[in-house]
Amino acid sequence: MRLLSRKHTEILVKILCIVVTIVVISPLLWIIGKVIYTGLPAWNWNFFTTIIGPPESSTSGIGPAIEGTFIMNGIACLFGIPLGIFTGIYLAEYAHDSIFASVIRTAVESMAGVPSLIMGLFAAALIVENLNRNQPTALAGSFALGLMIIPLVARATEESMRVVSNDIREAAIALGIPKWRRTLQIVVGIASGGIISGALLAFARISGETAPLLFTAYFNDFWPTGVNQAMASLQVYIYNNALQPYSAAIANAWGAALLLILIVLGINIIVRIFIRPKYQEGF
Amino acid sequence: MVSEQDYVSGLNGMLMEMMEAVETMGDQVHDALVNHKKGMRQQIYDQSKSIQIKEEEVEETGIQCMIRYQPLASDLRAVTVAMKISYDLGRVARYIYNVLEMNEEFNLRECDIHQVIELFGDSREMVRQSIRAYLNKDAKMATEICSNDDSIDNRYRDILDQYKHQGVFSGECILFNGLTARIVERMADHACYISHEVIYLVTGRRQFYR
Amino acid sequence: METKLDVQNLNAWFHKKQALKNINIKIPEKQVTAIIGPSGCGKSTFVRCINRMHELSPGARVEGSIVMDGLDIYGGIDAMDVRRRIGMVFQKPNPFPNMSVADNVVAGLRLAGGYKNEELDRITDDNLKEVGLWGEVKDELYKSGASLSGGQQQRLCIARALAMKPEVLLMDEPTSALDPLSTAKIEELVKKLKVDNTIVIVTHNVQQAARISDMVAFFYLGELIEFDETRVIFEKPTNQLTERYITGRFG
Repeated sequence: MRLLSRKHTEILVKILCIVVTIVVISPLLWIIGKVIYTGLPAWNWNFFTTIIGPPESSTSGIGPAIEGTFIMNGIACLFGIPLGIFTGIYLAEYAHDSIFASVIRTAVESMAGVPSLIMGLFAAALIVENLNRNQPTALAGSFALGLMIIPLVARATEESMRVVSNDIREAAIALGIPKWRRTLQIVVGIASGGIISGALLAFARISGETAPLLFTAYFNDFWPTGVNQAMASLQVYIYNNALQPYSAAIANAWGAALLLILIVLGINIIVRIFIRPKYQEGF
Repeated sequence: MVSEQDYVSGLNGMLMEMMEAVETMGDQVHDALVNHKKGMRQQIYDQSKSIQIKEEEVEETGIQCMIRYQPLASDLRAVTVAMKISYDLGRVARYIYNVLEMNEEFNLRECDIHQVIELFGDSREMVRQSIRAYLNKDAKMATEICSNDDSIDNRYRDILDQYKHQGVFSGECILFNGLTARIVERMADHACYISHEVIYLVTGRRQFYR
Repeated sequence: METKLDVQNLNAWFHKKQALKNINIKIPEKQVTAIIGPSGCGKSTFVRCINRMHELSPGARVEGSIVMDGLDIYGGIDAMDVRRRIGMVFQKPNPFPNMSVADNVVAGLRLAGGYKNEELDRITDDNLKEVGLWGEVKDELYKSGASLSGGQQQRLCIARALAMKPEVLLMDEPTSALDPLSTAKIEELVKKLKVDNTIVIVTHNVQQAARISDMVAFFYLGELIEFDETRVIFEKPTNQLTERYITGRFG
């Protein structure tokens, strides 16, 4: 004897899934809502263009922090993305079941799991202490961020390339195309959607990492004049200002947080709506 | 040889029916010749007609087999050979009817027709043997049968030779013996053709001309 | 009948398992040779030995020789050169999805280098016409190669292989994955191509072999059982095994 009819069970399970999903998404929606609500008031032209002033001032802006974030992210991507891509290519196409390949793969996986704080400490020890005579530098911050990008991009690259059907490789082999051309011009070409997505998502991810920058780039109220100096960043700005007793500082922190969330969300949406569909068309 | 397909067995069944009918007809005509019976034209004609109808059926069935089963190698040979043999049996039936027609046409009380009757019997035996060789897929037997065709030819010529010098024989006798011998000789030819088909069925060699 | 490929004592292994046992066969020039046999009999392995793709499989080993125009394919020539001179079309059509139709046709040429763009355009047009695809795609040459239908994709792959001007065209069950109409079009194409090309086609469809081939090779458990003209094989094969396979008496 059934307690519930089959039809009722179907409906019940469906409702259960929907309810759980709503419960899970709610915090995210709440956060976004709160950030928009609290942060938007701080937004004005001044906010984006002025240098960072004393915490109590309501006329200070986050201009240097925005520029700093982009500079440091930019440098990190400059070295992290290519290294990540080539590591991914190696793992996907050239590494066979050798011990060397297993070691590399384990290393990449582990790197992905290292807490960003440790990355920051490592960069600080290596660059700030040993190479820079203990002066904070954005280069060290970029280095730490770059180290975080590498495993993310490597993993995305490897997976995107693994998904490319072996039939394609066979076609290239049968035409007598050398392996390097086949890998770089054909397989990578097909996997490019996944690789680009991976790179963009890695960028979004490091935009939110604060710990690595704390010991490396520290902070700087003024516009950046070079890379070998302390530099402001949105993340550290929020960190600094959130604990201040001044309401202006807190309001500004929310404003910066809103900007940061928009950048991260924006990239995710672009990847989902524009890039993935475009590159999946031919499959 | 591989085992026989069901559809080939079906075709062979139809051919066996045809052969039985040919035997029945042949016995009746033999009896008519020996006992100078007349008035059998209609019944023999009907039997011949039903054998022609069976021939058409075998042909139609063969074509359907080719469409449906697209047979190859030995299966293909089996189907095409069955169709050809049905044609040959149809001709044999027709010739038997022609022999009866001769019997009906002519007054043979005063005529010595025993040579022709013997020839008729021997030709029927050849046909019988060739069909047996077919059902047993015996190419060796088939080759032997065909070599007997020469002797039939010779006896046919002997019969004709008798009449080359017009003498005491009646015109009807000459005509009957001459024409019937010719008909019977053609029957034997068809036994030979059937044997050729048996050889082709077993060995795939086709070297003989009709 | 000139011989294009003289295969002598060809043996092939996957690890310890022997896939081909002492194959000796002379593939004739400018004819269609069909390779038939039950699954696992070594037909795909055989053609993949011809363009030296078998050796790319894990644990693969080859012994013996295949001589084409006086040159032993296994006699110290670079495998990639062999593959440039012997083309292959696969069971599942595999055009490069990140390239346009036009680029697919000349992909092999372009990635081997050394061709001017005008030449490539002409080669694209010629080969698309050769496979009967020109009329169907001439307004869509710049769409992705994978946007075509299955039958069109396969003809595109054939055009791509032909653009390399191969000496031999290998086809591994090229119509297995296609609908009957596309299959018919490709069979027509093969009959047309054999005037100028030597074609070796693996097929599990005995009727197809009967329709389009001039010579048939029957493989069983890694051995070449019989190799003869199509009309002989399908009317009266010499070997009992061949007879049983063709008439469907095999498991």
